[in-house]
Amino acid sequence: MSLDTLSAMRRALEAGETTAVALTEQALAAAEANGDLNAFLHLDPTQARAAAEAADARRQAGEGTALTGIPLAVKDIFCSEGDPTTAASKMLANWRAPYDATAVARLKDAGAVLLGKLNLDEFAMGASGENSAFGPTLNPWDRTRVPGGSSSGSAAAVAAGIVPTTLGTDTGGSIRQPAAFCGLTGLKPTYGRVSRWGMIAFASSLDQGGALAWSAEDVAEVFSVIGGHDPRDATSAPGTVAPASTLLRAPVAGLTLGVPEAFFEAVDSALQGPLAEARAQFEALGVRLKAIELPFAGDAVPAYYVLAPAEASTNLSRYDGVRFGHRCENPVDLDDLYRRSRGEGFGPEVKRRILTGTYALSVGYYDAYYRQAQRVRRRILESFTEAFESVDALFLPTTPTTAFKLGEKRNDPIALYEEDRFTIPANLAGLPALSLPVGFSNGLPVGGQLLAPHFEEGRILSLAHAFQQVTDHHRQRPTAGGVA
Amino acid sequence: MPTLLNKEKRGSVRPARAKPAHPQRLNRWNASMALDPDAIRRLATLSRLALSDDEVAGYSESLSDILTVLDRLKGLPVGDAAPLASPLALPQALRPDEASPVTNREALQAGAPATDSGFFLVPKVLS
Repeated sequence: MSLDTLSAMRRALEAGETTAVALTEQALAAAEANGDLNAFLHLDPTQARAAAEAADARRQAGEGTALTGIPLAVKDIFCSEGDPTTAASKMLANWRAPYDATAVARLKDAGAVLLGKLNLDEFAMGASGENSAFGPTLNPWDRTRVPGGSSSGSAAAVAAGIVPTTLGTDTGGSIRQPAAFCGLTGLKPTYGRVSRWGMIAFASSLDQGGALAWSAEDVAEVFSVIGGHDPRDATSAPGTVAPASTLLRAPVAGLTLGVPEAFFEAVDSALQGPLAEARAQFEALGVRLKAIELPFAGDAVPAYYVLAPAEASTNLSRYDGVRFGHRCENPVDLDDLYRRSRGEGFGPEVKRRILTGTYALSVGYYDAYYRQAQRVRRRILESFTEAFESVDALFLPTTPTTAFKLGEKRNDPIALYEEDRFTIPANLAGLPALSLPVGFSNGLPVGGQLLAPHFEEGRILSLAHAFQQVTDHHRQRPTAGGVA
Repeated sequence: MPTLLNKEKRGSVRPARAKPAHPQRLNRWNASMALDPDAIRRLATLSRLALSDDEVAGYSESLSDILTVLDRLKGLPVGDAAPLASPLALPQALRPDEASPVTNREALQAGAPATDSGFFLVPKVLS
């Protein structure tokens, strides 16, 4: 079997059984073989090979870290110096980032081998990967289905065995939902844990970068490298992130896991079995389950779809056809330049969110929508705070369904918005949240979600790691038609 | 469907470059009303988005549907909850006011559609 997890690659590198160059060639070949997935928007073999050679030299000099020589790729919403950075938008189709995002710089400093940039829903707006200006990404478990979104390429590239880990971003579920659809483990850290510097902004009070990989162990390894305070991001949380080994070893037995029953009742019947087994599995690990209620968490979708578009309409005003990005032909005046550059450069969903956000922020609607959504957000945060007085973490479904068919919800924005209803609450409250594979239904992965109080990533990583010591859902791999 | 604006509805498409509407006009919109094409055109003007007639029609439909979701916010018993803008009650991190290397102007302007001598070029503003 080829090496396809970060920890297996690391062990092989440390034992001298393989080299970064060999792993990089394997990854490049796998990317080529899986070109039909449309997971990559930009693949840079030359840069990757050079980084791999440097990594091998570094390891030989005895200066390697856990990530030295590990091939990986990042969602094309992270700036990487000199590389195309498009946010999957026609607006930035020809733009190259003049600097590295902090998360990317930290990966490079650790000696990771950056293979390229991954497809996504345009500006991270979507839950299926179909909103990319460069075509949809396919789900490796079933190529007629979506991989989820918006970190669509980030999930597909790992699930297809191209790279062992990727970076994604999560504004309303964009790491966790694709992780669930593709049988992966994905962590959205606490808001402010991973620097937003060089991460193209969607909704600044919600956006958070994080990693996807097969296991909690591997996710922890990447999180410990990219996380921690960054003076260049004014909303960056203080403090550093512990090493992965520390993050993974919090005691699990004796913890109390809150289970909001209303969320479990709202999932498709096909997911009920695996989720119930997961609950039993946690109990077998010595975790106590406690039924809880989360008032207002069920109202997260309308609050989010006011706040996120409102922030997006402001953030995306920078795309004006002047400083970067697409410019229309022959503008007659400045207003024409703005209107046509933006009208031509943005795709349909991005325009929809800008219009929605502009509406919500309009005089006369501001109080009814924007202020009210912010008040609901406060109540949701309070719900979690109260819940965490009696439980250590929460367990709930990641998604209402398994991966759906390509095209199935493309013309139904509301159906897609509802996809996020189990993931959005953690973003509104800024909580760390992790999705992990808990089983399969009709050959498709089912995800479960763990949430913890602010800055307690270690608690949910440890819970997931303990779960993965006694289950093998995260060891399943897609074949042509279903579960291996 | 009721119209959005408190004036006679225009049958024709708005001129391509209508003057930006005064935001105060929005007050005349009747809350809870669906977003008709004129309302979409007004939002597009505020958003500086050129939209085709087909797009206007499509957004009129989809934004009206979305509004029915957003309207679920109304009447939620939030009481006296203070609006929450950011999830963490942390003081904004300030860094020392020291000069540090930043990406240079040439690199930043390399991605701009039109520049000259360090300036961004735009269509003539003054005649």
